[in-house]
Amino acid sequence: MKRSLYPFCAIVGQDMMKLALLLNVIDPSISGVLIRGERGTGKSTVVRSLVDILPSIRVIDGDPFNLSPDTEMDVYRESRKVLGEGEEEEIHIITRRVKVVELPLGVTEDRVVGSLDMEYALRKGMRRIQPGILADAHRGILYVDEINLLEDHIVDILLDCAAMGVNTIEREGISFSHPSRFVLVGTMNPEEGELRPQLLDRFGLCVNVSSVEEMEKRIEIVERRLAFEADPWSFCKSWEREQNRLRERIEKAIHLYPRVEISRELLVSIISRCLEMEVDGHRADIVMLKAAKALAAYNGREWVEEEDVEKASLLALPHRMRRSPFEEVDITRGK
Amino acid sequence: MDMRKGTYPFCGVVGQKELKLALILALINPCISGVLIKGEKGTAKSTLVRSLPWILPSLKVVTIPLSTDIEALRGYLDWEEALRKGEMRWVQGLLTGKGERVIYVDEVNLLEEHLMDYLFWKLSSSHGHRPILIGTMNPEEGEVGPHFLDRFGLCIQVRGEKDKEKRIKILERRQAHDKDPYSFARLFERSHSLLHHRILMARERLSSVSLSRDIKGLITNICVENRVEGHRADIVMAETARAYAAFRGSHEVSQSHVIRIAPLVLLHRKRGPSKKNTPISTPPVKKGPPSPPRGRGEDSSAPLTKGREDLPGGGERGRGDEEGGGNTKGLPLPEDQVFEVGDLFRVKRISSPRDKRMRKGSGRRSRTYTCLIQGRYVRARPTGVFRDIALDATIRAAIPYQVFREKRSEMAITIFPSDLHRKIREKKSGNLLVFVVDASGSMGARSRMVATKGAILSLLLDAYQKRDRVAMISFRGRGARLNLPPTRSVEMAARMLSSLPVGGRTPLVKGLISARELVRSQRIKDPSLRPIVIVITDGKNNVSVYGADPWEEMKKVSSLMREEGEVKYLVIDTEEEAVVQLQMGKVLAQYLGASYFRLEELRADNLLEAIKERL
Repeated sequence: MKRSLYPFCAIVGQDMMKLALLLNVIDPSISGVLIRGERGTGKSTVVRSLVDILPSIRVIDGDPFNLSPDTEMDVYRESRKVLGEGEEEEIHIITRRVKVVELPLGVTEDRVVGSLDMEYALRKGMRRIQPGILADAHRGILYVDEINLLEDHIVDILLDCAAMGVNTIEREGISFSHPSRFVLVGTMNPEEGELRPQLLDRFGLCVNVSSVEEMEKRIEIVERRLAFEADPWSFCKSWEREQNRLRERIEKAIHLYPRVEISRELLVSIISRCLEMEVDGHRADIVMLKAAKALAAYNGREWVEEEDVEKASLLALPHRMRRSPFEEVDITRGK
Repeated sequence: MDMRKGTYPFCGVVGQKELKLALILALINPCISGVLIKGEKGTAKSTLVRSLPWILPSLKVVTIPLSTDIEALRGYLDWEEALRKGEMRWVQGLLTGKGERVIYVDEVNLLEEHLMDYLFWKLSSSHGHRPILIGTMNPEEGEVGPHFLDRFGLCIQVRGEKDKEKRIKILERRQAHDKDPYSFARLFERSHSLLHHRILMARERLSSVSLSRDIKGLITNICVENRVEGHRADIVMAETARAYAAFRGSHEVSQSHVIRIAPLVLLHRKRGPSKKNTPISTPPVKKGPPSPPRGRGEDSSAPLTKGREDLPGGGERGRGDEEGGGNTKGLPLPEDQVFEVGDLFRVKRISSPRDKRMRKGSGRRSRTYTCLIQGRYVRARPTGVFRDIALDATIRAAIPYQVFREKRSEMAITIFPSDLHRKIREKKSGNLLVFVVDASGSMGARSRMVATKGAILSLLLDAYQKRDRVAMISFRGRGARLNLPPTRSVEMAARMLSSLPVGGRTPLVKGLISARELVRSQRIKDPSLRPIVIVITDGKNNVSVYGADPWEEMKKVSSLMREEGEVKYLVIDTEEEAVVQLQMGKVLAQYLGASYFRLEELRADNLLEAIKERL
């Protein structure tokens, strides 16, 4: 078994980061989390360990575009053509966990967007598309470590795709559009430069992480890590019950989420918070609303309470208060 | 496929009256030729554009992705046919198509310039149903070039709704839409169909809507008053007024029609300080403090100026000579002062010439050949590997040999690896900007340093938009200091700048030497680097480095730097305007082979000038 992932539940502290990620799992249209913080604070560990507790989705076996067999069959049929595959009589629908796809820093545009298989074209005289990372990430989580160091033209592509939910492969006369909706998770160390406000705003939520200060907890971290390194299998085994519980809780929340209601007073509360902070546009309102509802669902409620809004505002506002490219991101003002 | 499927309904959008009106007018009269939507993030810009088919179901919204290339827009040789059957067939690009279409570019300011060029050329020359170009942009990320700006008939500035009730409505509607898009859209069925009919009626009426001579006079008057460039504004305003009259069900354009639509036409065209703005010439969207004339000033400098107070060292007015040393930064000299940052403006175009070298990386300043698979395909070159193959050139290369080649497959053309051609592409890249800032006492005349800092911050803002790397060296007292090693983080430079202390003598030569060392070490790391060194000084060099006359030293060092080549220099002279001017900055510029600007000349707020700079 490839059970070498550190269990999500075994991570000590970093509650806001975990919460932000879970809310996105409950409603992917919250559109992502930006995790800011110094190195070695478990940023990557948390994101990677998420894989294990993610819910399942239905996909078509062997489909590189990860299309939904329920709503995206028209695109699927088209995609078979551009992949150079014939019509298949039968498709196999399988269920698998939501994926976490990593976008490496030095990545080329072709690799992200997808490209034309040139060799195939010149040998066979036929077009065939090589799907890119954006196809792979559809309905999943796209993880960019050190996103502030990503090449600008790649950032532009991500922005474009995140805004439209669609990626278009356009090379040598091939033009193929496929849906690409993903939860964008980025990590960054603010010491190495900020993100452009435009990209910042695309992240639904933002958390600031710092290393755990309490002695007890620090010791706990080391101990668990050592136990994990020594025997990953039994370590994971000992956390299995906890992991299962969380998984169930998430799945329940996903089912509950569409039914969550919010009172008018709390809507007013959301808007007042946004107005007070003078954030640009309406994205903050919408994200905060969604996050508050997801939070309620996560807590097993069908209604939103003030504390949900309070917590959601801590996640949705801080990175939106920067008004210009030169202003610093002041995370504390959100409180 | 129904374009409306799952999209947010047009009439469901709360507020944004101006934008809705502009879009409707553009649909009524295609001569308006395009709408540019400027505005902060998350203000339903894209939502509205995508929802247009709700009010005109025959309309197709064609989205141009930023990653598009020229072949996709223009059309291309169907190489599949060519290779297999030996037939030449042309496949139409994205811009050609039947029926009514909206060509939509999100973040139009980030689209590569050559694609913009093509887009406008194609749209202006198309027959039949003229497509309507709609672009959205967030001005923080840079402006659309002035020559493109003018091509958009209308321009709207959108802002978020500030009214609480309306904001609640937005949230409630959004919730309802997310829950069940289909039933939500049904709520607006009636308003959509009403609007649909009004548009159709207006279109029919349009050809008979007339403009009286008086109205034409009013239009030209407004345009002259707002100092617009050329005649396009007049024409667009007339066409827009006709569309509006038709929309209002009238057969003649009235004065009130013109006044209603004038702001839509003028927002991106009005220039300079007109004599006192008449009520008509001021677009109602413009609020807040008076800001620099056109362009990016409107949206970004206002928040920037506001934000300045938060920057360290910003509001240190009145921190005088006596007390200055108490600054937390631990400044060495007691008479040091920290000045605030002056007004921001748009700077002139600064770039280095294109050379033969291939570069990686991206940006928006200078042209270069690129080894990335991005940018304009300028020509093809033989290659042996399958990377960024130019199919057209490859097929062309293979054709003469076809008679000698044995037919291996069912393909009409047999291609050998020796035929392979790859694309040579050209794009823009960022530069390394090295700021060499004079922080000596002679710069300390209060207003001077404030203006200088304003100029540097303006340059930094420009660097942010062009995606440059920046470094900053300051010189004063006895030496020069590298305040900021090369970094992409322009905001760090801005922070650095605002706390930059001033005082002491002027070791200009030291500053130059530091710049030279920095550039050299950077070029060892990356030989393809094209640094632009910007020396900001009043030129009153008065510290000797090697024991010779400071003036002679300066001449020697700068001519040496010039001879080494490959670096572009810029001297920005901060000497105050006076009866007697020493103009030593000018001499420095001559020896460096630098472009020379006086501080005041750095502004690029003249439209014409900005275009000239481009040519």
